[in-house]
Amino acid sequence: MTKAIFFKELIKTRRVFWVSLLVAIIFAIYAIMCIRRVGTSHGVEHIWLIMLMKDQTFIDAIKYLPPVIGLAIGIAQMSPETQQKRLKLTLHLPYPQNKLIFTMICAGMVQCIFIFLIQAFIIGIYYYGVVTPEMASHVMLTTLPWYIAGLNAYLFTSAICLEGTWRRRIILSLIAIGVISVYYMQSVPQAYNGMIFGAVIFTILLILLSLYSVNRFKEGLID
Amino acid sequence: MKNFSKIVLYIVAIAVLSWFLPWIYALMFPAPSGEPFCSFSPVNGKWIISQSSPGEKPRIMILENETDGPTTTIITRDERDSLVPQLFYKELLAHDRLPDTINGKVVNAHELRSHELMFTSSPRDIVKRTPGVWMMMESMPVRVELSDPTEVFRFTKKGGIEFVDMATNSVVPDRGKRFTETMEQRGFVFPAIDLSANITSRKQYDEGYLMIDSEGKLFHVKQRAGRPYVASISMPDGAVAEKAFILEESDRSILGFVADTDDNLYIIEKDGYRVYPLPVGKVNPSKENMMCMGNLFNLTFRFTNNGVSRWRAVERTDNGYQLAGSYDYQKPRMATAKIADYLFPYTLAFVSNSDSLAYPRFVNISWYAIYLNLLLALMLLFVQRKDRNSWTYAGAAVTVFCGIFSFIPFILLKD
Repeated sequence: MTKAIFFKELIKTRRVFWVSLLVAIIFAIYAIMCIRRVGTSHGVEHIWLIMLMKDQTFIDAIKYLPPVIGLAIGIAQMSPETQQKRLKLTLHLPYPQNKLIFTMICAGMVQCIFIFLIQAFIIGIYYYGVVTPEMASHVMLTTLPWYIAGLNAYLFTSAICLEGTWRRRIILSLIAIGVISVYYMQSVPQAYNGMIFGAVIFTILLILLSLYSVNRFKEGLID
Repeated sequence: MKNFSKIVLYIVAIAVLSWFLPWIYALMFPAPSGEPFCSFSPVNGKWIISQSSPGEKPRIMILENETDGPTTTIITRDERDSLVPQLFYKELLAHDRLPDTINGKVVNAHELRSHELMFTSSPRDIVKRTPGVWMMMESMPVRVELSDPTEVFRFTKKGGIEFVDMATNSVVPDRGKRFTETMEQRGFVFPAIDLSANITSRKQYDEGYLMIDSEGKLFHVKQRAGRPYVASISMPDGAVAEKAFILEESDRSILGFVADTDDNLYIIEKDGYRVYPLPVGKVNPSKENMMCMGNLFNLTFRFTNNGVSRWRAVERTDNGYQLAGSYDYQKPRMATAKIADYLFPYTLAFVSNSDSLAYPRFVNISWYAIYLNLLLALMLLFVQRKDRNSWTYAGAAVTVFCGIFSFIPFILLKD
């Protein structure tokens, strides 16, 4: 049953998944091309100089993409459940409710993580060839909060889509904006290292928001 | 599970409001800067304070240290120029008002310019994560002008230094070995805990790095014609160095500053690597903004932290440096900031002016907000009097501590 639910979710989001993956790869290639352009016009040393002296990572192009991908996958996966009244049917499946929602959320998160990993891999491989491993890690650790913001965006979108009342959806949206903006407050590389572990725990806890939305839906709290 | 999910939602909502409400409040009521600028007059040995606030006429004052407390005397701009010739000598020269000597020192444009020094340091530049590699410039270039560095170095796990060529991203074979040997010969214990350099080719000369080794000893390290130059700098009275700053200013006699683990500040003179304590009080560069303006007559320091600016002027004597003048300025708190104390019991901040890190921290904790907190808790009980349940009482209890930050979620998120 778990496999079937997982597969159902993958079918639902397949188009958005492939488009998101393509966009993520294009953005990664674009970031690399920008770095290469700097290297070609000013010399490779200039990349090092700017990275070390100006606290730049040259990959600002991908900064806001993870939350957009999280939002897109969340909408593609969860909005049909409420818009096309499928959620009631889904909840009637002979499967524990919380486990069902958890599996659905996992399916979405796996897709997000896969896209983020591919993008990070492309950027990481390039950087490890151009600069020292310390500097490449410096860049990759800088991207980590952006990807966590992407997962947060996905989880909030799921909770908002599964919520039955507009009033609560608006409140959840405002909270989501507040939470995601936290990941973009400090632009200095590796600034978020100290809270990465906490952010991961927080992200796991956010899964509960979708369970709460479904509970409310089941209790008949629908507009 | 439902209750746990609900608790998570409430905590997230309270956390977001704990950050957002104080932030939007500060955005609506910004604090004007208007901090005075001080300079120490070598003519009369007093502080000259220039202050301007938005919408007010700039005021220039002399700080008089009377027996019954400091007073100020308003002066004109022209009078100020004559009292602070180290800053306004161009103005004085243009009007032929620059004296030949001040305090027995010959004064002319060249002398004044060659002793100019400007140094600033912010905790944001100190408390941040670095990639673990540093650039090394060539201090003795073939051409007169300095050029951008082509190599970086890192400290190896084996206890040494290793150079990497930027163009090829490969280790430079012998240079690291040569530097490691020379540094070890001078008593350097790897790795360095602090490094200070000004990596730019737009400076007159390069002095490389001031490095503090793992035992708190201070070293001057630079690259001259590809070879290592390492000098050990003795700290006075067995002080343990913690943070060093290299200068490379027009006044080449001063190599830099160093702070020790007891928050004392020292000046390093290039000639003989003499280190003198500066009588400026306790200084913590990791928490305070520092500024130093040097000139022919004195060094003027400003240390800023939590709205307090400490101005100190020190003069060179035969035996070191002595305090010539001090002035403390406490930035007045705006009425809106005082109101905020009554509105918000705390602020959840993720970034700070005193570092370049992001993590949650509670700041501006105010007990004045307890009155509003209690009022809001009672309001919560009153508003939900018809259908009170355990959540209502929990909400009231949390509101006593979190105030408006929890009051809003407990009103809006009620099922």
